[in-house]
Amino acid sequence: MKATAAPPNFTMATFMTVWKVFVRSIATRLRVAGLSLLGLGAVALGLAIHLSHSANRPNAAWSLVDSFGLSLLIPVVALVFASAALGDVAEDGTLVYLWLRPLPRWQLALGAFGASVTVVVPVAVFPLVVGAAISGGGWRIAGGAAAGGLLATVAYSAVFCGLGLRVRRALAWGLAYLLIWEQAVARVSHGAARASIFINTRSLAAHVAQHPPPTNAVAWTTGLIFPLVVTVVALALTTRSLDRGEIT
Amino acid sequence: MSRREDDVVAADDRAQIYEPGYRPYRGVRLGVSHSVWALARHTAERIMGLKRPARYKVLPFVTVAIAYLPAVAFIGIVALVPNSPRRLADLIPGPGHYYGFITAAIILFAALAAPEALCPDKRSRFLGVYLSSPLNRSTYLLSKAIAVIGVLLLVTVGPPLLLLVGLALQNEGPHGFVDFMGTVAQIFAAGVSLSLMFGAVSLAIPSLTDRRAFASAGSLLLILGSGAITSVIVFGLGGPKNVLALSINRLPFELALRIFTLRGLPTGPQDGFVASAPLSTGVVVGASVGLTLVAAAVTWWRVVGTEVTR
Amino acid sequence: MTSPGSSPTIAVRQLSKWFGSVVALSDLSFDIGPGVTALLGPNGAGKSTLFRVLCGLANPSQGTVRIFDENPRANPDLTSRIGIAPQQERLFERQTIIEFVRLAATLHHIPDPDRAALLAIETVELDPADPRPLAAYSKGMRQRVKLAQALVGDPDLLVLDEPLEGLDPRQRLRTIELFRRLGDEGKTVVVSSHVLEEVERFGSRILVITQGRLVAEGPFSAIRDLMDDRPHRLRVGTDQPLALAAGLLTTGLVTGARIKDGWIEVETSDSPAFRRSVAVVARDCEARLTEVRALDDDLESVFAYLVGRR
Repeated sequence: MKATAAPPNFTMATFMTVWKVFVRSIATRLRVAGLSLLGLGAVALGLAIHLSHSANRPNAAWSLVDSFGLSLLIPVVALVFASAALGDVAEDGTLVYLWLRPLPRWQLALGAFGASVTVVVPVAVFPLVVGAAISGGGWRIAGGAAAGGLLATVAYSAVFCGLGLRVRRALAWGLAYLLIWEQAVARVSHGAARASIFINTRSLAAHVAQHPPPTNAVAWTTGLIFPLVVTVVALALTTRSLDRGEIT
Repeated sequence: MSRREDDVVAADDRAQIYEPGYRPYRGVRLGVSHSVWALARHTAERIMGLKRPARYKVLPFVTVAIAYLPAVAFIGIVALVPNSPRRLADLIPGPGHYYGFITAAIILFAALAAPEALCPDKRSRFLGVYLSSPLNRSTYLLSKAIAVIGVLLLVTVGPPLLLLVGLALQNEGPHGFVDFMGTVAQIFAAGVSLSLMFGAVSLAIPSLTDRRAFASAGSLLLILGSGAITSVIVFGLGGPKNVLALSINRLPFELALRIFTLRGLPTGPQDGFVASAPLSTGVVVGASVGLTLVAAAVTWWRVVGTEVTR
Repeated sequence: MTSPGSSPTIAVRQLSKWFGSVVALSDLSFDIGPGVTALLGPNGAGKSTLFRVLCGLANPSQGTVRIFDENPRANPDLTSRIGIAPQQERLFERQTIIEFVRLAATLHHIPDPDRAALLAIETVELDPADPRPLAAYSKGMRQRVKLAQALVGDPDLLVLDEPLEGLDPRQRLRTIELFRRLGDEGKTVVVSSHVLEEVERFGSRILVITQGRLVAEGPFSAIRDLMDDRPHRLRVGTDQPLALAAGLLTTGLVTGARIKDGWIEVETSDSPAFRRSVAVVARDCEARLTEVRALDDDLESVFAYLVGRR
């Protein structure tokens, strides 16, 4: 009955299992329902723009993507789900049922991150893209929403996964970070803008949408690369925390 | 406290034996108003993380510090560059425009403070314990409102007041005592109105849930989401400009500007230096009163009106 | 304990663990080999902290822990040989029992996780087809779910924190039998408990810790014998308390006696001899004996004795 000798370190089956556990634990009915309403707001706004027959639809559609989608909808939805992924299991002590298994720790970090992306895309990114597409502002705007939205989802999910593992009340800290750094300091200070996920993803979205560069914009290549670097670093730090930190 | 005859079981000239069983408190009872203040003070301490471990203090204190930071920086600029060309001092905002620099801090503080005041009592079922004291649901809510609004004054009155005093000490503020006191009065009026409005809105959301984190996220989504949606409607779609009165992240600051008798924020994009006319003061005042009353009514209905058995 | 030549499953050397100024574990050194070993200590003695360090969940502040000659924190693959049932009750509340146990089996890379999960669930006598989520499970059922997920990987080392708590008497017996059987199969089973009677039934080696320190180790009966040297207090029930107490005092086996509420409380330094002679004395003074019971066999008094001896 010794089936456990020299187990393979990584199999797709174990990774999928971990991922599924995280998806199921973060996608509670209350969270999904409440935040889907917010996502549907993007669709409703897109519809309103479409029905307005305004001459300035592309501008309206861009302000939907910029002021609503990338400033608020995606960061907050990513914060709620990603901070819960490792945060909930660390807080209630069930993380041991994943940690005390023969898996490399990066699989846990990646599983939690993947689960967050899996949930945020249909809840926030998809409605934003649909809203932009039906607004009549042109397909390029929808493309910008998709590119910026996906990239923001990936970067915020990685950052907030780690935050959830490391601090209690990660949601409050994350809100403080979003409001103070991403939405206040980075909008005013050109230097800070370079280190903001929001400004970078917005720059990329504007490039894809062929919209004039917004305030404090960075080059679209920077806008693409910076969030990806943030993602990799955040995942590495989360793995390190799982490796070295105390598991409750 | 005070000893009574019926506590004594046996006594003679030299000795007394007292009832060994339960002896109720017979001291002075301080009444409802004392309870309200005691609970308000306790709640305010909890919001600020006082009398709790350091990690509870970090977030509230950082947020408060962010609200004061620009004021300190402006005073510093004026003080350290004394003989600067007038143009530099002209760039320093007066107390009325100062709120534009700390909007994020005020909103964040409101979104964190009110859930801390209401949610733990519901989640730990401690509300019932309070209700067995001289407090009833209305006075309980009053205590909580006093605490939240009072703590909010820290970020709505404190920073502009500091700026005013700092500038006045360097002869950069209003000239003359009457002007100075007038500005102080404006700061208090604007600060109280901001605290009342954000207090009312941010208390309404946690009254709907007992999860602190959800309440904070919900308050923030409501405040910022209303701003984002109305700006898409007005600036993007060219909808009626009065829709902007529904943006909760804008309205309280509009009202504050009016209290300082300043022109409000433009209601359209500032293309080509032609700023569009701001909302009329009547709309701003009406919407502010309406918003505060609606939010207060929701909180009242949830805390006082709804029978919560657990 | 450990057969000469082979290395122990668990080797702990000079292990200390502190949190700030609180010392949870202080300079522990011991080996644990195959068979059942019970870790005995009152609540707050440091048992759970020790378990967490043994499994690699927490870092030692000082000293070393080796499991199968490896550092449990450094190598996740080591966990394929360890099954743990932690003390906390939370499980993945939204899963069913089969999902939860199958999850453990899958993560342990077991080729047929379904079969392994079914076997483990049947071993703990729960229903694998139960469609309810784990949130609906009682405390005793949760204990057995935790045991099932620990068993599913067929580990060489089982670390079980208070696994009998919340089980009914029949389940306790069955579970103790299971532990013994696993021990006989050559597995290392480490079980913590704060109930002396449970530990007695394991018939195993025990480690006693209080206040983070190891205060006794060895086979249960040997420790018990050592403890028999100390004075024991017993309660004797009879219809003739005065006469019997007088009779017992004359035997010389009793160092003190007092009558309380119709019972006799005696103190003796030779409990077995006292138990043998009490019936004879009762017969001689024509007293009916209704009860002879040790008053201080509870863990607290055992520990009071062990700690007091140091």
